[in-house]
Amino acid sequence: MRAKSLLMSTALVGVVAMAGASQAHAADKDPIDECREDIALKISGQVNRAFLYADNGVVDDFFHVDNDNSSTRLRARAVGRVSCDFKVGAQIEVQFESNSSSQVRFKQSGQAGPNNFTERKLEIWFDSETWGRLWLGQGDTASNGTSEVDLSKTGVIGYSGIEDMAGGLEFENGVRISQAFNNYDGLSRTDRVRYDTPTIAGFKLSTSWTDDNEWDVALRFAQGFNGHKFAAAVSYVDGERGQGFSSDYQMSGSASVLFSNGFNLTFAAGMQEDEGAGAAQRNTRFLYGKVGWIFDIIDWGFTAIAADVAYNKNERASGDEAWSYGIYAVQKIDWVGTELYAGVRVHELDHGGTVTLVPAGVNFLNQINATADPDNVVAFMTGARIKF
Amino acid sequence: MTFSPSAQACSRLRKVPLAAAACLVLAGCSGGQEFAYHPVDEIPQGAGLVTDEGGEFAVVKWDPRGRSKSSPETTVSAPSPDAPRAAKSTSGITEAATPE
Repeated sequence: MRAKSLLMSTALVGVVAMAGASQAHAADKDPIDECREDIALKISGQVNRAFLYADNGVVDDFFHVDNDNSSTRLRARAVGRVSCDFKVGAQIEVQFESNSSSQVRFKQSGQAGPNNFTERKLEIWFDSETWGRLWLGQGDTASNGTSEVDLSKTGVIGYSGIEDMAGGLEFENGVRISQAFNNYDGLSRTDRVRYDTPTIAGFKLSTSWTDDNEWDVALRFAQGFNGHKFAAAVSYVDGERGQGFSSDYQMSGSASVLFSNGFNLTFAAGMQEDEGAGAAQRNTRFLYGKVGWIFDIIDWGFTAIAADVAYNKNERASGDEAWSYGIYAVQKIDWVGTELYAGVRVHELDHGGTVTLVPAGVNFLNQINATADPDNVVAFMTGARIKF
Repeated sequence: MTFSPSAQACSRLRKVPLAAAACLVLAGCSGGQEFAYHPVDEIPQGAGLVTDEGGEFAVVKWDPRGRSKSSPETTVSAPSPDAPRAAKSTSGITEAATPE
């Protein structure tokens, strides 16, 4: 099967590359003279640091964190044009999160997470305006981001990825926030081959096939109408249980509209189906909504405010229900590429009478506490993202 | 698992075209203009602390065939093929004019 996969991937790359190259020869005798661009290695990056305070009703704690909503990272990429229609490119993007906001835990000793660079994107691509783009390597799968379309400009502090803000923190019974919430955002980033069609009337269709033998398909749409903007995405994921994916299949989608007056609305939804027998059979659900407003109150840059609510059902175990709601504010300072932000999010969990703690019966304070309805976890975060 | 979608998977996929069709109706009726959506968790677009609107530094930049462009704003000194690098600044670091 692996050999077959390798052959198919190689064939696909060859076909796309030859299509682009042959078109270059057919259409232009010296194509670069017509559409020539300098080749450059382009460097960019950001640092996103924040202060996080959280309280779960039993303990509270302060943390200096790297904001996992959009982590500290570096990117280097290069693009070269082969012909008027055909380009090749490569990029390396790595993140370095010291004390990631999604991994810190109450009463932890030392720092959370790996103290080094971790991979985000290590990929090459072949792009034709006529035939679309083929990607190879570690990077976004077709379905990644389809639960996270958001035009509110407050995503740096709060979006549908609930667990990014404080996902490692525990409710009083030891269940972590990341165990209770999930926005089913596709297959994330992994080693894959991916194909995107050209954008037609605002639509783009994508599919990818991962190293774990999972595949997905996604449809994206983005268009402006009389000063208003609308963006949406939907995806289907066919999982491979036991290889980094816990269900048989997953569907998710999101949509966001930004009106010309700055008012904006965002929705997202997702589901996983596990078709195992008996207790293994589980259907999980996710719903998300956000309302926001972007305005110019000072001449530094935009100001954005938003409020959101999220709901998860059966995520950690059948019968579990989790709610989260929050409010956020972002102030851009244009001339220094900086966003200042602050937000508070409340996390609520109801086990519905079924409590199987992990580890069973012992919470993070090493106490027996089988609370079915633990106190809410309140998290407040403020910080800055500086792009350089 | 095989690469070919099962009949069951195809059945589930029917919901995707339904959502797409709804969007198509919206798009078709409004005659909008395309824009590139930028994901919330990526490095933001636009100027940074030390970059202009392109938002990126071009550390190495050269004419791919060792010849200068015709547009005056991007004209570089004509280098030889053996030494194709022709940075705009003396430091060898120039700023990318446009993002990809």
